[in-house]
Amino acid sequence: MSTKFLKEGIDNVQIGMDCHREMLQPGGSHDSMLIVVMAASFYFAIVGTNDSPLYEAEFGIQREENKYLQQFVVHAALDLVDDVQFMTSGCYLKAVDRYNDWTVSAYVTPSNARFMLLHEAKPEDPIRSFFAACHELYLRTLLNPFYEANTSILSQAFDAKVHTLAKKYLI
Amino acid sequence: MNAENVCKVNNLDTFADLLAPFGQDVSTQITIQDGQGAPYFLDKINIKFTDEFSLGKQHALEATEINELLQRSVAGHSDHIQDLSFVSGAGVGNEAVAAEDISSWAPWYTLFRQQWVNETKASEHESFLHPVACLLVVSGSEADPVASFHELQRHPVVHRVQTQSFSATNVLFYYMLVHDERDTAVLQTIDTKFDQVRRAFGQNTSMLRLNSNTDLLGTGSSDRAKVSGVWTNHYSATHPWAPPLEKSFGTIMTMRDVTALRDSVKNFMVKSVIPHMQYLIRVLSEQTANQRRGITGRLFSAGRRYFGSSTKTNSTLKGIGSDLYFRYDSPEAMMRKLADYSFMLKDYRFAQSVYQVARRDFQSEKAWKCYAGAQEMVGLSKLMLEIHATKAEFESNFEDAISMYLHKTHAPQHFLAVRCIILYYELLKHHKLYSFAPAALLRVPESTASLFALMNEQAAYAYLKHSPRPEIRRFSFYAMISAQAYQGAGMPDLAYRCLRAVHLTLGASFSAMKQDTRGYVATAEEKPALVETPDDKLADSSAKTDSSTATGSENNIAMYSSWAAIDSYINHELGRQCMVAQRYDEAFMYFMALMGDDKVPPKLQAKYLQELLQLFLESCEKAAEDKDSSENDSQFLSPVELSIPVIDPHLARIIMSPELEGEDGLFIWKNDGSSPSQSDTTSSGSMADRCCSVGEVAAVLLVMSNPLTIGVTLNNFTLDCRFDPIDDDSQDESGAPKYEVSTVPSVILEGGQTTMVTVQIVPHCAGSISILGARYLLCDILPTFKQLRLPGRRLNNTKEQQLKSTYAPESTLGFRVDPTLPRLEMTLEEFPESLMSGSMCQVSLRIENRGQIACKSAALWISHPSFFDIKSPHLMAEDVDVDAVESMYAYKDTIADVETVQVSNVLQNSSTFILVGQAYGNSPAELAKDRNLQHLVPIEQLEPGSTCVVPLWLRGDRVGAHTLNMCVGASTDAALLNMRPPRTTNNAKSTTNDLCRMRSRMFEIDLLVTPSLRVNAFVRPSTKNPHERILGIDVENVHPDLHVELVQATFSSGYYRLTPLATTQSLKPGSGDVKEGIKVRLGPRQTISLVYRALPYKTSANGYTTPLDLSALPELFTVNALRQYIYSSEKPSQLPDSIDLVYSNQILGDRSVGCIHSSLQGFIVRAQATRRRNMLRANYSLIPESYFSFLFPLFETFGIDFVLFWSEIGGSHRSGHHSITGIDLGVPHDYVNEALNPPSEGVTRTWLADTAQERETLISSIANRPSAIGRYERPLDVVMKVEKTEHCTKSTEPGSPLYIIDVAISVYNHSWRYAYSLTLDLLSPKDLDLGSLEDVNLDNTGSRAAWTWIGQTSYSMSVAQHGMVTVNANLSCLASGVIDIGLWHLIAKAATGEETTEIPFSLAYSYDTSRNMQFRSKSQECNLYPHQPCFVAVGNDDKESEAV
Repeated sequence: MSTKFLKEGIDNVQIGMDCHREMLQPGGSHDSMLIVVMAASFYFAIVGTNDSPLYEAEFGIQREENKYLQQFVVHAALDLVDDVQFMTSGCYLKAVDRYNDWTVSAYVTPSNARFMLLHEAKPEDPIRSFFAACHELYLRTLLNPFYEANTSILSQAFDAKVHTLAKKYLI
Repeated sequence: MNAENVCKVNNLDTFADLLAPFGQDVSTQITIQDGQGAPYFLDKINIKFTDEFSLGKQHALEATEINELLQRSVAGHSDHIQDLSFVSGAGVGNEAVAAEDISSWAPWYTLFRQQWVNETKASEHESFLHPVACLLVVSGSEADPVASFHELQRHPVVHRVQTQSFSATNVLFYYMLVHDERDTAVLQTIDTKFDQVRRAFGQNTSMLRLNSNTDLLGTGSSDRAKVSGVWTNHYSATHPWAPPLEKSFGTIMTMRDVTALRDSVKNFMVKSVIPHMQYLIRVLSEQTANQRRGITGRLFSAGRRYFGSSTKTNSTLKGIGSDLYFRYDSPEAMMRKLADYSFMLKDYRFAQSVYQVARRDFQSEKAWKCYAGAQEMVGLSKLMLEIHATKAEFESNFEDAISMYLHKTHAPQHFLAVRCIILYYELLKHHKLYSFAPAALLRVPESTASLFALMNEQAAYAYLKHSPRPEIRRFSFYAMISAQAYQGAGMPDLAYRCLRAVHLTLGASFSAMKQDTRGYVATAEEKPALVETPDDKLADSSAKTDSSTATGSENNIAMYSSWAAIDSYINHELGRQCMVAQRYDEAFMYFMALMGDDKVPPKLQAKYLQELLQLFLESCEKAAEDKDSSENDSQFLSPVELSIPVIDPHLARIIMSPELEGEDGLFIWKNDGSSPSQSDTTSSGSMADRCCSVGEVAAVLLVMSNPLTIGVTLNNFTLDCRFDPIDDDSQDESGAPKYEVSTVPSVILEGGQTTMVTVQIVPHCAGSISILGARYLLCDILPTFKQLRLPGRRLNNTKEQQLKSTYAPESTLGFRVDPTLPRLEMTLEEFPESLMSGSMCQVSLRIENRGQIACKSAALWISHPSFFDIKSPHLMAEDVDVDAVESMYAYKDTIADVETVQVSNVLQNSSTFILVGQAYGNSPAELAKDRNLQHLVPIEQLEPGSTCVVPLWLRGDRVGAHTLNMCVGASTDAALLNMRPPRTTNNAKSTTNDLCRMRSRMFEIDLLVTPSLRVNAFVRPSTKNPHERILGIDVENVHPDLHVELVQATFSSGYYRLTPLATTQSLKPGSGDVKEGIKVRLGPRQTISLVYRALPYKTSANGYTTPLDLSALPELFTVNALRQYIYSSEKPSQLPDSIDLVYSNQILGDRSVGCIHSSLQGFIVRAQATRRRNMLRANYSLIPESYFSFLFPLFETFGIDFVLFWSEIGGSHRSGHHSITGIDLGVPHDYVNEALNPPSEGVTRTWLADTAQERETLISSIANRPSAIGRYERPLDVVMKVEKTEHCTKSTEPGSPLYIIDVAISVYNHSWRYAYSLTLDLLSPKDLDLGSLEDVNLDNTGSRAAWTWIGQTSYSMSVAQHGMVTVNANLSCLASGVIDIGLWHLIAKAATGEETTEIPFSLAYSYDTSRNMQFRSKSQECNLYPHQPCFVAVGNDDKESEAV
């Protein structure tokens, strides 16, 4: 089952690479490393205290068909977050779950909002920085008097900033 | 041979089958020694009898085979698939889950496991399933049993055992002689035969007597069943998937035989097999393991690894396939055998240590299969041994074993890996270590979908069994994975089951979460309790909705967890499963839940929609088939209710006669001038208000929006309506349609679009039509019905209703069809879009009666009365010339400078006009008086089909963009129309509440008024007379290219007449004649000022004003009425008297306009009334508007209204007028405040603090009203006027003249309320010194130097309300020059008590100190000083004085 999805993912990656090649054709071939790095795919979700996602975003290669699977993996990882969060004093819980090639990293804010990042193999430090920066953004959203806690974050600005952070730290 | 016969007669195939049941749980009850020689008690042991041994190749684990296996397992439990007892709609119950066993959730796993175990075959790398002992059975009927035994030892199976099995030559032979009791022939010889056998083979022999039921009569059926049960039970335990066997086993056996069998098996074990194994263990242990354990052993093995491996390869290793194995006589294999035997005898500790040693050897030889086997056994031993095993001790062993089986061996040993997983899982379950289970189960290879699915399902259940709480989220994830795999393996039933479980758990947990946050409200909203109504239909409909809500909550089928992708996936999959299973209605529900989710990517939305349509087509086909076969009308043909598009019934509007503009309905008309409105605020929008007559078109406007991001089309959009005849008796059964509903052929809704759809309904019968819902074809395929229902308003009357939300019967969208209603069609003709300010323009309103019944009364209401002048309506048929309509301005050649006329001073409702029906009042006098203002003769009635035209004059009153509302109401009932102006009645209330309901249509007209002339007025006091004022009018032409000629200026006032200070002649210096040819013209951007002097009209020649008639003053009326309104319990009901108005005209051009007795006067008065009402509304916000007529007059005495007529030169010859009303020339005293003082009597006592508070608020709001702020308040004024100067010289010295001056000192009282008694002291300059301090030197040299009052300087007098008193005083002056004589001191005190009986108030006044003093202090007692010097020139003949 999941190998099939993986294959699809690989197809997507290849398609993505092809696109980039085409785009980069005039520029030269020395950018191939960049292409490989950009091919990574991320799914980021902020989960509220009532277990519903407040914010969702995808970085890198978008995989529409697998979206439910991504959500499922992240959703299932919440069970692990519940266990793991009491074993550490920090907010960053590192990688909490793994499904096939996917890793779920988590970050729990003091108000029990959970930041979940579904990614492929990746060093910890950028993810930690990404989470910390997102936490800052989330705090600012909470400070907005028009934002009611635990409701969907619909702000365009927030979305744009998260994508900027993802570009900075992840992609 | 013969022994087989013994079995055959008992319906058992082989002897192994005969013994099989007795191999389970053989109670050995012996104490044996473990590996270290320590004794331990062996309670029970299991053995397996088989009649065949071969080293079969292990299963390659074909997918189809496993599928078949699993299908077989599931087949027995098809009823169980639908049963999801552990998850309900309320979610996963923690206790229930903890109590139940996993096997009960998925019984097919247990079956599968059993089959898997049965399929297991002996393998080269382990000694399990290899024979330990060989049981040779010979029948007692054999002549020579010993020979037979020898013969048996050469049997090929025995040979295979000796060559291929692990036991090899060490296999134990056990000899059993079976005696068939029926064979009586050998009964005597059997014992001797057994003796022979025993002698030949030693102690490993036994004899078994069977088939004791010789007589075949049976010892009773129960006994028979018991005997048979021994085998059937065993069979069903080991082959649970197989159908129960019909055969009866042990037909000729009794319980005695069963006991004999059991005993012989026990003997076999205790006496022979276990000692044999113990012996082997000892031997093997000495040979191999003991020397290998410990430090020395390790060193030895290390040495062997490095130095002796080359020889080893040849001698001990052999390859089967490409995997390496050890020969059975190699030390490694022997160690394995030793460990296995120890394990079999439940000596797990010893076994584990041996396995560990063996494992190292296998690893060093890279015999991976053997290594994996050993590793697995290490783990198993640990788990068997340790009750509280911790993770680190066994998990790595299993992981290693499984990965070795799967990846390191040459051909992946799936079968063994799965066996390992199963064993591990079972042990974990046994120890309740559920948290380790999923990790193990999930190692199953994905290549076999069904197996993968099964294991994932188990893993999911293991997550449910997690303590302390079930891990629902992980459960749902793995259940979903499992469902996918089941789907892939072609087992949709199980896939559906898993998805349902996910759906239920996630949905339930989420709704529980929501419940927590939203709390009670959500549930209350979900199920609105409906009040039962006596009306059958309503009850019926409410019952329907009740049932629909009930089913809705029961089949809470749509997935909703706010994880959009998860929801849509689950719903979609479930829908597809149901579709495949042909459960179409369930599938519909899932698919419908999919619709309307805008978070799903458009591609998927399109797919879902496609599949939904597909589903419908399929279900239709199915239904058609069903119908053919069984004449059963399927329910799928009835339209489903879908969430797209979203139609909000709250936004739905019903518009009567949509081809006409404006809002239609039954309006309530009030006669206080306020806008006609929908009858009631509480029931607004209900059916009662909307009605139409037969044959009229009603349009239903629906706002629908598409929640999807893809476009959809709706075809044949129409409405479902219910028609209720107006009374049941008149129901005609003609079958003709009661109404027609139009159909919109197609509506295209792009993604996220909101659009409006209009559907027209034409009723054909009287009754009522209510709209039930919308009906359409989605994408031209799927018939959809959308309910449009609104709950009624929330009831709040009884306690029960307050406690739970109860709603009135639904107020359906609908309307009444009433044949008696008038049906008028109104059009406004020639209405301009823009108008110059002040200019007039004629328009007309055409009203056509298109109904069946004559309209007997009609009225017109306009929101801006100052914009309109309404003329008498006339019927079209009368062929009235349009030009004959009265012109706005009645031009005359000459007009008097001053005219007086008595007009009503009642503040009227100027917004409403009667067009058809009876005019106001009945008496001709009243009629005439009213006509004076309204100038409107209504027509009597409007016949069907006839048209009447109402000419209107439209005037641009104020600059700017205006939205004018116009409402025409009509009724066929003449009595309905009782609109009357407020008149004096005893009961004010009955008048104010006069209202009637009429079918009305409200228009909105947009009008832009562009600026033309700007007129400003300013007022100055005149120096000549305290009553005289100078009024200046500035006229500025702000229009860029308008040349106007001023025609006439007209002032009207109740007190003043105005005379121009500058004549037209003086405006144009140099022109000769006054009257002829002089026109005041004003080009663009030009300004002109006109200055007038305002003098009281009744001024006598000597400059004194005749006193006013106090009783008739409008101001006094206001003071009295307002005081009564505030303090008395009886509200005022007196209307103000009429007032005499003075019209002063100044003709500026060559024509003049007659203002009096023309329709223009009425218009101006109405405009005035509107402005005044607006002003009052702003100032007296707390007084209801209906009281304005009784409190305030239309004209104030001292106000001046100004009208300036003009006409355009050239161009379109437009003419118009500008007006300024209410120019206040009056006294500075604020008379309204006087009304705030409480009267002495007639004050209503206030019992409640609230009432008092209310009154306080009212009083203070009046005192602080916007126009009162900043008003100078001084009730008394002193004016000095030099009458005469006498120049006399008393002294002998010339040149020192003495002037005696007579001064008339007038004290004016501006108060309407108080008469004052006052003391006036005239002060001379030197008197001032007396009051000043010693060291202050006043300047007595200047104007103050040389004069003094002579004669009486102190006067006591009294002055009436609004009166004047004059005294004469003299002063003498020594020198000529200008002196300031304004030196006086006035002490005034309001006249009090009975003395002031002349005060003509209706409520007698008395001074009561206990009353509120707030508004009294200023005007009741005052000390006044001059606030302005009064200079007088002495010594010259031209006397110039300046008075205050």
